[in-house]
Amino acid sequence: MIDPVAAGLVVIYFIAMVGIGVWASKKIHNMSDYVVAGRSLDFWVFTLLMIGSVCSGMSLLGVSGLGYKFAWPTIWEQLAVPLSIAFCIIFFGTKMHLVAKKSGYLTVQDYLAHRFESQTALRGMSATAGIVVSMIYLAGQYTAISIVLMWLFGLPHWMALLIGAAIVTFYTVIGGLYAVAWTTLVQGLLLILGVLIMAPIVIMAAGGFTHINEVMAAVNPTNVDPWVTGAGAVFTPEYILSFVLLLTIGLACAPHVINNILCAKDVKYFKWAPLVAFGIYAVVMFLLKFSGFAGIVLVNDGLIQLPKVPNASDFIFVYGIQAAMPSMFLWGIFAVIVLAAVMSTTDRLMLTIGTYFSWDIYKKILKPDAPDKHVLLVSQISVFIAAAVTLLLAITPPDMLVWLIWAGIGIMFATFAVPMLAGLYWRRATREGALVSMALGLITSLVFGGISYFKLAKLPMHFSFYAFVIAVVAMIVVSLMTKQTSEKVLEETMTGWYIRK
Amino acid sequence: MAQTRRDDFSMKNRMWQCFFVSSERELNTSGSTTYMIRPGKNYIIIIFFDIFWKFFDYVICEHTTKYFDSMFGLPTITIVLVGGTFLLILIALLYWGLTFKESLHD
Repeated sequence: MIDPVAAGLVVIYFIAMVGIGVWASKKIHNMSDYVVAGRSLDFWVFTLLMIGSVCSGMSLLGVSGLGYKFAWPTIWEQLAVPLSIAFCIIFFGTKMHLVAKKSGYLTVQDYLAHRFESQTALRGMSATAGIVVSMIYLAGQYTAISIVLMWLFGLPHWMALLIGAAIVTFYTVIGGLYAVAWTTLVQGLLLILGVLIMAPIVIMAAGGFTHINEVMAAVNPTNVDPWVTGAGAVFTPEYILSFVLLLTIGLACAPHVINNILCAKDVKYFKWAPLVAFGIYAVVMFLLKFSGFAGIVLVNDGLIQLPKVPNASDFIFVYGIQAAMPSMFLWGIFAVIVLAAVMSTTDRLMLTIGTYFSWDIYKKILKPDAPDKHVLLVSQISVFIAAAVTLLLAITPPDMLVWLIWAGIGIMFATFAVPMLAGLYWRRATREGALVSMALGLITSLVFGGISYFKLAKLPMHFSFYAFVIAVVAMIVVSLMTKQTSEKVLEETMTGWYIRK
Repeated sequence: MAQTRRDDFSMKNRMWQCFFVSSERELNTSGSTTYMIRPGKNYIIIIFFDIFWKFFDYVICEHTTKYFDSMFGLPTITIVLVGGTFLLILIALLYWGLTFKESLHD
């Protein structure tokens, strides 16, 4: 039976999000308002948008799930993910924000098209790849929404998915990035406060931090090591290296994260935003991971029993909260926090997909003479279609939520990291090099991802690392074999081996 | 209108200035000189470096290694690697913030 108080909290949260969407919709007058919030985001809205875009279903459910399953060797995730925000702002944002403001970019594809002098081929390929990987990532987010609503209300999976998707889609479609940014501000604050309060309660319920580590070590001594070695080990040193690269650089160049750079009002925010974002998010991530560790003790002591589902470890934080706080009211608050985390990424992803299609494919390639209002409408319809398609993908949840999201990040890493970094820092990088690098990165990451997922061969490192190396080699070889980009464009796009001149 | 420029310190004082204070001399129109001494940005870096060094220093000592072995129920290597990496990242981001010149971007 649904508890009325818990249900009331979730309903109030949903109404608040819709209310922000309606308020934000009044600020939308053109594509710039819809896509980059008129480049008007203040420091805290921008910083929390960066955190909220990175903080996803993986952060609350997958991170603790992974901690429960693989213990301390997964702790590097807690450093790499917050670091990705700083990496994005420093290595991509500092230059790109300046160039974007001067040239009026609305998406990262505008930068790539300008830098590599490729208005259709590279723009089209990059936008298509961005849409595909964002949809993969989005499906994982929907699964997280479904987990929470199923647990709290006992709803069927499809109904939980439908409710969550309807709310996010509504406010994203009508409010664009204004709605996404301001809902993320609220969601981010809810998430931070919620984790700061709830995670310590779960940890204390399991006997405290030291006791948790002692129990973990007693269960398996390698549980408290920074990595594991030997046959069958997953988090080996070489795997962790690729894992850290994947999370730090892959998330930093993910379409739904890097596009936020274009929305900041002033470049001076990039001075302290990396440290602030890293500090806040690292604390949240560490607490979540420790909650996953606490789950090992709670299960070991028989205090909780995970459901018999393929992705059972993703339920560990949810069940930990349930064991630590036997109050439906608090469960309602917790549900709101998880929904806040998941929805803060979901809305950004949906908007990214809609923008990439309407601006980069429809406006810039298919119909360059389309009026702004027409493009805005196409963008809103695209967001709606993206929500519907990914909803269908999410109907059958994967074995483990976090693996699906990693697959998405891995493909982003292999596809976008090389053209972005080479474009910004290597003057010799050419259009052909970027095209081949991006295409090979995308294709080989899908191939290696398939090999890993279907266990066709044992890969010692994360599958995306191999694809990344291939993309790097392709970029270097093809660029050196082809004609260099004009000096005028290189100067306009501030290309060179520096972050700041 | 006041004119501000870097003080012309000796080499020894320059080192001192570099690490601990940022000193500027202000010449105003009346010809009198005002010295402004304030904590330099590098001072904060030094403090972080000091904490970081002491952290490793404790680990190097045998008796404290034993202490770390029982700390939080974790092995020393886990504490050193995870804690050390965390501190390094913090120092790097702090350095970025302190050396970021806004005027270059306007």
